[in-house]
Amino acid sequence: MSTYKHLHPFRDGLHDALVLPMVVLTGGMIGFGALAQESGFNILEAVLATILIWALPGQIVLADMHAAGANTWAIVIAVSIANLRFLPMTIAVMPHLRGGLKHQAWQLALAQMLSANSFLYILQAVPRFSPIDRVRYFTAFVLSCVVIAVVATVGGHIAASQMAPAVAMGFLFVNIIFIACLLANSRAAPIIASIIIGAIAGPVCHLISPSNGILIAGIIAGTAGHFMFRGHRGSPS
Amino acid sequence: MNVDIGPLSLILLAAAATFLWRFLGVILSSRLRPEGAWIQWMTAVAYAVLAALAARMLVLPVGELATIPLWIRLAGAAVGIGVFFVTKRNALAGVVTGTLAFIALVAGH
Repeated sequence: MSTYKHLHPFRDGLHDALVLPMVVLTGGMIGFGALAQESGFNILEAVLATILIWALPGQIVLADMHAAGANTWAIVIAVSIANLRFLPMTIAVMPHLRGGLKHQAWQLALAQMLSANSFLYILQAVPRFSPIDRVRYFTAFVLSCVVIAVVATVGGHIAASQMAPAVAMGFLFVNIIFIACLLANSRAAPIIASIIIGAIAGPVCHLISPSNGILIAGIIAGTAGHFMFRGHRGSPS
Repeated sequence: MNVDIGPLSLILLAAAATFLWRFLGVILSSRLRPEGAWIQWMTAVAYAVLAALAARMLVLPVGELATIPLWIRLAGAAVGIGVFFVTKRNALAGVVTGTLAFIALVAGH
């Protein structure tokens, strides 16, 4: 393992999670907690949604549609489609972590921990660590995120009725700006091209097909970006 | 076929429907090499899906955010990304400034 310089994966994972993701998760999950409260979920249910779904956009779809009184299966399918991005994300991340596991069944636990947040951070950490240290980094990062997210969900649920509307709105907005900043940090040509095309294609495809638009836009944009710059190798971010 | 199940069962079903993709991802990725073209392609698609999602949430939001005029949402995002680059890619500065700008514009609206 002498080719890898960093030897504090667990500490680095905690440290990385406790800076930007902490601020964003706190904001986003307070927003979700408040939304869940208004949608008729109790505190325990809101916390379970945070831990078990572990993907804020899907959680917002769940709370929004539940409040609107949508059909059970329509809600489940909508949440599933909102979270379809975990298929390419898991495929992209797992080969970097698999080598650090004794039992391959643990891949399912790692896959459950994946989110937009941890996806972007683990890919940035891949060049720094050996596979086993990547698992340590990832675990430390996600466990801190889970603790922060649960506390914020509870806080948002309790504070829901006292929040000024502009502030509650800000808590929903923080997620968008966070994803935008993390994406803006990309440096590899195929990834930058995929992001720009995806950002344009996303709303357009959503108008054409509200249920599948985001996925279709992602496949088109990612494929275009990948093949436009196929020769350009480098770190994914 | 609307079965009236409790909120807890609804959450468990939604979680299972999300885990399905994670599970399929693990199965499919086990057949691929980390440095191979398939993984690079899937990485590009994953980033593009996130970009498409963020752009959709910004331009065509659902719920409460939809009541805010588009220019306020775009202005908040522009301030955030602008500050991010001005501060030599400090994401914390970008996120905090962009969100505060958005809240100020919403409050003044």
